[in-house]
Amino acid sequence: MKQSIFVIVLPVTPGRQGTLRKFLSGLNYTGKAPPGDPLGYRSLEMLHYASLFLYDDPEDGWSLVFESNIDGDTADYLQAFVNHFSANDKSQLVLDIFRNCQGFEHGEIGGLCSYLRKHIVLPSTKYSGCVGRSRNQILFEAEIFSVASQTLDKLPPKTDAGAAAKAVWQALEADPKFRDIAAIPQATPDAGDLLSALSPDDTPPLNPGAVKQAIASLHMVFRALRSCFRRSGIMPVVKAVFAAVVFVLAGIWNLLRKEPSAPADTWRPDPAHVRSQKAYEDFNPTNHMVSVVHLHSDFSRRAAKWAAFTLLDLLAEHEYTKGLLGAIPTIHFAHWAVLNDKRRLLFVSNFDGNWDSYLDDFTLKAARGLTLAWAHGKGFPRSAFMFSGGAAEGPAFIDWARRSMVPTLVWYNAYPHLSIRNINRNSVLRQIMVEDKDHTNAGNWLELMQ
Amino acid sequence: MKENPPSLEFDDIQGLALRGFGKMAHAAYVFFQITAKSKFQKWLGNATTANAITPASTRRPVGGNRQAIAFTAGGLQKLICQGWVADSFPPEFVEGMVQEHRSRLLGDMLANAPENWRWGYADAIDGVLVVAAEAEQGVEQQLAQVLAADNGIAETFRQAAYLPADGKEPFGFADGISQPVLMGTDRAEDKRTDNPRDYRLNAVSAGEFILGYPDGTGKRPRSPAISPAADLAGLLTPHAERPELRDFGRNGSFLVIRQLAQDVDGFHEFVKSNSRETLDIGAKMVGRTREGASLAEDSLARHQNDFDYLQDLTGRGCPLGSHVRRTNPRSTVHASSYDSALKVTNRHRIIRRGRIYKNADGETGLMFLCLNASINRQFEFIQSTWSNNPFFQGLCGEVDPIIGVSEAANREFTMPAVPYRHKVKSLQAWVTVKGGGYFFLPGLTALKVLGSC
Repeated sequence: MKQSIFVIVLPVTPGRQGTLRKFLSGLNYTGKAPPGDPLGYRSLEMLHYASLFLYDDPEDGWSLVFESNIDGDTADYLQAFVNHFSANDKSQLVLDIFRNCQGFEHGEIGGLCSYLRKHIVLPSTKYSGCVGRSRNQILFEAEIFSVASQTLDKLPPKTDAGAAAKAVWQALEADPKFRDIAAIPQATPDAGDLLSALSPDDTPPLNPGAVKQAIASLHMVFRALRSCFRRSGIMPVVKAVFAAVVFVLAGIWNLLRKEPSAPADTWRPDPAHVRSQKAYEDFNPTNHMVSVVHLHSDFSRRAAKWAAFTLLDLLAEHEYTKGLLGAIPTIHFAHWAVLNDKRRLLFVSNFDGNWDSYLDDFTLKAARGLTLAWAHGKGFPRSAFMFSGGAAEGPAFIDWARRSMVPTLVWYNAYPHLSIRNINRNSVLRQIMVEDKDHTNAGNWLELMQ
Repeated sequence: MKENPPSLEFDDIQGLALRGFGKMAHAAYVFFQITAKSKFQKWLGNATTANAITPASTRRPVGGNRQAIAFTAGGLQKLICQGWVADSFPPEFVEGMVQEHRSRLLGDMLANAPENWRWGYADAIDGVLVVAAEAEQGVEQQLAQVLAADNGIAETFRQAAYLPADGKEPFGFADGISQPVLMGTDRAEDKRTDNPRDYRLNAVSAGEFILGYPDGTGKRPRSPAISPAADLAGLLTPHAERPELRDFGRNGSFLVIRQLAQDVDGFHEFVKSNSRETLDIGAKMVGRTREGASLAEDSLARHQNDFDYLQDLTGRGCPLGSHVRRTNPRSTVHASSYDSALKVTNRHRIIRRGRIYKNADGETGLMFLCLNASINRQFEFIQSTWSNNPFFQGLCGEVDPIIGVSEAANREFTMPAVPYRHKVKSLQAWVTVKGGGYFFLPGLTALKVLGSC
């Protein structure tokens, strides 16, 4: 199943931001209150993760942002979204939100879909940790795991693999829900690939020096280009090669003329501000992060940014498809998008674990990629060629990221009980189980049952 | 060529940071409030000049006793007054252990909720005095002497503790085995020649624990600053990041103390009723045998701390979710190689200085003490990202069976095995937090400044 990741950015009618904020917070999708679902997100079958938040731009004023990580096409989803509200007698609820936005002050439910579509902003770079799988497939595979797990719990001690496998299959076959267990959707990544990403891999050390790393990155880019060519033909490859040329030329210019003089912020985030953000974090083992930063938007840096995102997106689409972004195994969905006439950069992420451990992974395991993504952000720790420095500057980068954060007002997660590693493990489990219908290699999949 | 790490200034680092005071079997932790600032400063000034606060350089100080002193953010602020530069101290230290979001991360909820604590919640502690001596009596005499002096402090809580002769914590497991060793020290150099594997796994940059030295990234960790107004004698060096200020942190370390009561009977009962002939659930939950041997098979290991989990990636020997594996996963965190995994893990190590306590009413447990350069990146990370994380290393819904608490947890514990995992359910909370606090253990020069500012 194809997935789509996007935001809809709507200008808020001046003066309405307070009302909107209060209304959205009042829906109780974040914080301590038990998760109700007044918007009825749970019945939207295409939806994995969604959020709503407001941010203020000093030049353009307030915007309402509506993040969606979904199955299928954007247009289909928006139609389903609007239909969902009109069919469930919730039109007023959704109008109460969007009527605070410019151009829709007197809008009706019938016009909502086209209004939303007009304001879609597609990501510059996007990443999904559960590539190819629909929300329903994820929930289905989690149920297989859970039935199998409960069956194992009931077995007498010292049951052998064959008998255990048989018992699991009997339990699954007894429930008509699992009739289609063997019909594994085509887009599901291969079990072997997913498995290799689930456990650490002994490859050369992480910090072999900038030159070796650059060579390794180039190799990865070539691999991604090859895969891109096979899948989509020559045009995206031409675009990527053009981006690479722009990246090098603009990169050299920026390295000499822009990066050395770009001021880096050194101040600490305001503790009270951080507390106000943390008040909404860690109620679940999965968390949400929204960051908006201002970009240096002169021509050469804008060009370099475009090129960097084009290349990153190529990598994300063709290389990082096994539940790992570099060596970070905790991301469900994340993306960057440029907003406000390319002057602002939005980052939205849905990740397992707490914010500090996420940022720790950023600086220790993926600093180069993140520097590529965030370099030329105003106040970003000093970078060189968008490649070194930057996110590798541990505490300074972490402070910068924290200062840039925007509070999430509504956050929805279709499977809060599952980590991205659980999701990928479940996909592997199902594939190996189905291949082993005669229980000859049951040990292979029983081992995955943790 | 790698540059040699700068040698540690043992004379200026408090002994507690670098030494376990292993020969001093008895200790007491006295938490106090500063009631008369100038009297306290006079006492502190005398104590530092008279070498009453044990430096790390002294192996066998005169009189035999050891003393250490550390302060909360409140205590430091009281002493430093106008020289206090709040934003140079890490926010977790300034806020303290008890804060709503922090309680979620640390698992200080339900039975562990700070409202139920004996100390560290509403008592506005300014500092802690640690006294260690060979005999219980020695501790008492020393304390009587300190507290009888007109030194401007009021004791708010006291806990005695000791090092058990057999080295075992109350559940019956050998404790304190996994300790990092500081690069550049003699001990580390000995290890490097004697057991390179141990060195590779456990030698950690000094700056991970002591401020003023390069840490695992090669940079010096952030250090608290004070304004020159609080250091009129000019004892401190200029602050590296903000040269207009003075470096208050140099040779200091952040100290975390938690009092953890242990339900020994409950633990043994559970272990007994869930173990089988060949399966010791207690050892599985801890991740070591009672004698301290790792459950992870490792043919290269020569003693109890030079092992790795690379021959036990599935956790069939030592379960992935066991206490010692969660709190120090060694080379098994997700990274692009085992080397870099170890590098990542070693950014989250702590020096432990825990001792056992046993009160007259029978309550027993651990006075957990640990030292680190960043409470947030080290102690809190271990507690939240590893111990209390229901998603740790692909697990689903369970937390550390010994110290973990999470509202999202299911109180189960999974032991990978052949042909399939074994699971125990209905785990109880056998460890209950009874108190806790974040302290700063200043270097001796910084203590002199505190005594005179």
